[in-house]
Amino acid sequence: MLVFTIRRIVMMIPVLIGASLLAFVLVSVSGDPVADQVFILEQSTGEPVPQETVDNIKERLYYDRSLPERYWLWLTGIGETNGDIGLLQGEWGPSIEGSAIDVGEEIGSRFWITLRLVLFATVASIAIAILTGVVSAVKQYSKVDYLLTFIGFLALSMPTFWFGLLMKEAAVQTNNAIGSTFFQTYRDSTRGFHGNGWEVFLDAIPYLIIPTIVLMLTGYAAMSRYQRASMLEVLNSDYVRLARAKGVRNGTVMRRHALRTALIPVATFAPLGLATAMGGSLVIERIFGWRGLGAFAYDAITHNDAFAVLGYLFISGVIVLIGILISDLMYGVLDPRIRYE
Amino acid sequence: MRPKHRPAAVAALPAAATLVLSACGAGASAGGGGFDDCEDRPVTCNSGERADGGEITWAIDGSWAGWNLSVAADNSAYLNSALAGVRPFEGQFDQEGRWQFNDGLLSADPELVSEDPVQVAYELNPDATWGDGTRIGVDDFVYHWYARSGDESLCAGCTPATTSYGSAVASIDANGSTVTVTYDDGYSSAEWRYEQVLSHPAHIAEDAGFDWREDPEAMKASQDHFSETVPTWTAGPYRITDAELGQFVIYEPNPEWAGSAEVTLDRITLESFDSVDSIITEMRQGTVDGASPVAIGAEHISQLQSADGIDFAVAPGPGWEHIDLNTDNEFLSDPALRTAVFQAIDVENIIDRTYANVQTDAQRKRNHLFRGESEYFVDKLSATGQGIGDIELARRTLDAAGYSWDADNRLRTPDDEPVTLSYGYTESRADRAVVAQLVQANLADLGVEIELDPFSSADLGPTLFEGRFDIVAFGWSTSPTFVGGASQYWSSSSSSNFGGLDDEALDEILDRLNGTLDIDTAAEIANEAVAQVIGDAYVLPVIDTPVAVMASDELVNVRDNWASQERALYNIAEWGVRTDE
Amino acid sequence: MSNTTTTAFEAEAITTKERTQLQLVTKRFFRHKAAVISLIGFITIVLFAFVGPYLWQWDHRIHTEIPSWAPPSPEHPFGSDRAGRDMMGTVMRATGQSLKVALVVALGSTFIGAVVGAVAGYYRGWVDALLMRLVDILFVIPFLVITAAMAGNVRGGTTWWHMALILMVFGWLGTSRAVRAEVLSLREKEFIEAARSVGGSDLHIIFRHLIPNTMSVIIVSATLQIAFAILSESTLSFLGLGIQAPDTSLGLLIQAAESSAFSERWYLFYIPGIFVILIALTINFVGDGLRDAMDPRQTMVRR
Repeated sequence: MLVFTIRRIVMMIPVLIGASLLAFVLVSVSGDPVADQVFILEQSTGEPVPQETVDNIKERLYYDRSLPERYWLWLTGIGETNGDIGLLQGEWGPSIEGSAIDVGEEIGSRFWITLRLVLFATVASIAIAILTGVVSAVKQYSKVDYLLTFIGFLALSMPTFWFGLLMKEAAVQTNNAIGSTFFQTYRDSTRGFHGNGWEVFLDAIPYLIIPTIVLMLTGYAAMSRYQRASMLEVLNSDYVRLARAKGVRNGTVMRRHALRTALIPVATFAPLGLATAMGGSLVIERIFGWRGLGAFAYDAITHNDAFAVLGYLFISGVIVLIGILISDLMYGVLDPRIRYE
Repeated sequence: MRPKHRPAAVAALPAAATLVLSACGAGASAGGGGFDDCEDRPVTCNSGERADGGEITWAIDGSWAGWNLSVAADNSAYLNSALAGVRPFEGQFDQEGRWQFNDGLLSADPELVSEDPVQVAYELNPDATWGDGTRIGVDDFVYHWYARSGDESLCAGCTPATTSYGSAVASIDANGSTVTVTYDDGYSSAEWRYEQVLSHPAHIAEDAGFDWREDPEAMKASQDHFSETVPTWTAGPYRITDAELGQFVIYEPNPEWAGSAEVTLDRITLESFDSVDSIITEMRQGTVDGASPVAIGAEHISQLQSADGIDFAVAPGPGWEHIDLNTDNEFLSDPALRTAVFQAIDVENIIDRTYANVQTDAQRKRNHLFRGESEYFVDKLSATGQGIGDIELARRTLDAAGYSWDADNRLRTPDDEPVTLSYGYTESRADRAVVAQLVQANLADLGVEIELDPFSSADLGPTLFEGRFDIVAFGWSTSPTFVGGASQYWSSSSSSNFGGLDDEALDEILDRLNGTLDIDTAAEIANEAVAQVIGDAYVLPVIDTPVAVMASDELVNVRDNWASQERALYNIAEWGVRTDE
Repeated sequence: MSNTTTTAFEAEAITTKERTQLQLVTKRFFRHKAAVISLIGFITIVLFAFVGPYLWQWDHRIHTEIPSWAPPSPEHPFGSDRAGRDMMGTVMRATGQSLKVALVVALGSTFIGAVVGAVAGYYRGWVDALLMRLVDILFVIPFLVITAAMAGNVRGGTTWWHMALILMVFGWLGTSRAVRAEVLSLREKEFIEAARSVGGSDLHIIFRHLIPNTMSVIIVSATLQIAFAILSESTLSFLGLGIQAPDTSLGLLIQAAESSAFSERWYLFYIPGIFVILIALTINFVGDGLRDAMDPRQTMVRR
């Protein structure tokens, strides 16, 4: 299994390089961020931007180099002495936004903000999905089953942004009705709040509630159907029938045999679901003004900030690939029929 | 302007209802205070007695990516706002365009002590400090000069946002608390009084280990340092006690503040938001107390109307919209066609269907450099028929230049070519999209086919610099200064003369404009330049874009100021919480 | 949607033997009540979007005679917006634009996915490795991020056609994987052997034998692509990176009514939202019904 893991990790490298190259070309050809920045600056200062400034900006961003050269620099940093570029040397490259923004640091701090949201939402959605999936399967073709199925489909069909806006307005209305801001609807934490880990966590809760509920919906929709299907398969399997035939009590059959096996697909799906939810947080972060990875990606895209986009794609790519890997490994651990050579 | 006050009292409700029903309902509702009188008394409206203390949160409608206004990458209207309470201001323009020196920094108006070379003397307020006991002095002037010099031997590899001041300085000397800036021979700006001469404390750069005076590399490194560090220094009424880059700044009163305006608020949080919608949502819950965002839509106005405890006022803001023609285009290189195109565009109709939704009494802009209320304003535009949408007039103009129309009423050049033009605009700006369609319709009547070419907002700059347009609509910022703007827009050597106008007579006027030290003479010459540009049919001004200020009705001395980069934050020292009447 | 299925069914209905299979599938599908109701609902929405504009007097443009913010009434059943657009006409147009995107994406990305999957599965070896690495690469790039990056920068304004193209180019990954898995097992079957031995070309085998025999997978995934495309398109438009004014889409309408959910103009927020949900919901049920009908082994089981 160790060999398997290592082989899979090595396989990730060409995939990541391919993905980053593709994204780099797409972002680079879609706009000229230097001219954009210069124009915005002119509007702000009310006078033409000096040519030396433009040249120095280009140099700082490596826009005086050709496109392949820029990508090569981003990846390796070889041939550059500034020491601010080259992923292999641990540098993420300069951001359009200015020298005060360090892409690596930004991604590092924002990663935890997004992870907090995604983790809560995924755990909650899995719990609910398991519960409703099992109920649905056990009471197959009952009214409860139909209702839960319908709710699942509804969740699957609801645009996240619409539900998010609805929940946000509902929170505002609630706040106004009770006369205090119980639900925070903007930002991920109180600005300027300092404290130890526990206090920071408590501070973040009012900000977390609504976004978590919204993100939960997306995860729930996919997983409840999954859980129901696997539970049904197990309930109809020979060994459960055998257990029943032997006279084992119904509750015991459910707990000991059926549920345990039926959890395998969901458990293996969870890491990957979590990884993809990291990417899906973009919409929620936009609506609730969070400063997480999704908002970072949005800003980088709208400003054509190529190195920032690359940094984001790299980190999200790694997260997804690790998610897949863990999913596969868990599958092997949980399902006795599978063995990795 | 449409000021509106919304007291919670039931008596005010019918007035509000009328306002909504009359679609673009004009006029103010009854009731004193608030922004009601901002139209008549823009400089003093919403003033009143302040209570001691108070903590408020003010929203900034954008983010900033560094702390150094001198640096191109950091400089933005949002950073200006974020630093409004701490950065050194030589002075500020008020809403009527009058400049007032800042008595917390200077003890007298800057004085022109010599005309050749130009020398300007600054009399520093002896109590003015950087908030750490260190007095503001000549070193700080020199530091600022180096930072903005654009000279590699003073600041190597620097990316100053502007160099018009820094590159013109010859030397800076001090005599007691008087600092004299001597400019080189080329400098003769009528706006010498308004030059920004200070930005950062030199002693902090030194304390951080940068030998900026001797080593241009160290100078650059110290600029990066200011870019990356939250200002601990202050030359304003407040000091920063906590901040996060691009997110928020928390102010508390600066005990060393030397200005006459007394600070009453205990704490101001300036917080960055990414949309006006979010700001208004938070204002409705009372978590934000006010904002003066750069753009506002009709939907926002209606939300503000139905919110309790929020005052707001709409007025022409610090930006103006205009339609530019590219003189390098094969058709538009002919002044007759340019004139006819502008004559065919109906600006008032355009405003009626767009900006009037936000500001009921929105007016057409008729001078490129001066606003209607300016003492220097003259209207040389109306007489030319540009922007009145008179198709007959436009046809006569073209007729006289040898143009003709074919059987399908399509315009043909004297060389018998059909005229087709593209029209570029930023697609995310709903108003510009409507304007584009209206212009398209106007010009269709003239027999000119317009192909709309919307682009993303990040593409506006590249489109302009590369001249990839025939007709383009965009905005410039306005300020009471005009000398720099005129050259920036129209000088044949300016990189921001996007449509490539090359008019020798205009260049000569601009040279004269840049050669006078007297502001009244300069204004006169500037109007000559405007007349020349109108004659060239190069830029058609549309409107001073309306903006809104919105604030909790408990705030006093808060009012909008189009003439300041900081907008409503221009008088942040005077802000306070209203005392109970 | 109805288009997709009929063409697909016609392709299958070449021989009499397959027609009975079609009848079987149809019969099974019509047993699935939710799916049938959904199909009717979906067709109604399609008619509303594409036939409605011919019957209804207002289009999605601003008309000076329409009062701004008229509440719902017989003249304006969905009310009107600030600028004076009749919302009934606007929602018809918006639904139409969103559906056009969705249908093109469903056809296009399913086609790409089916061909890539079939080619990869049929040839195996380096072709398979290459194509599947491409799928891996695209899978690693977050879908929303890459489509947003492209849609936000279309020169000349993003139209429904651009949106469809962009979503199509990045939306075929799932289909290709599913088809490949099917083809991998099919290629060992006797009838493929037979086709090969009588000298059938690779192209012939792929398009005449392999793809038609994976039709059930393809049809189901095409159906679900519609729901996926509707949601993606409206999300991108909401983010300001999709279809732009003066054209309209359901996402744009929701964005314009962002904070109206509890105001007196609630209908501006809910109506476009409900249209998105209805389209996605009916399609999901139809897809479910088709899956059950085509694969008797997996009754009521998704994925």
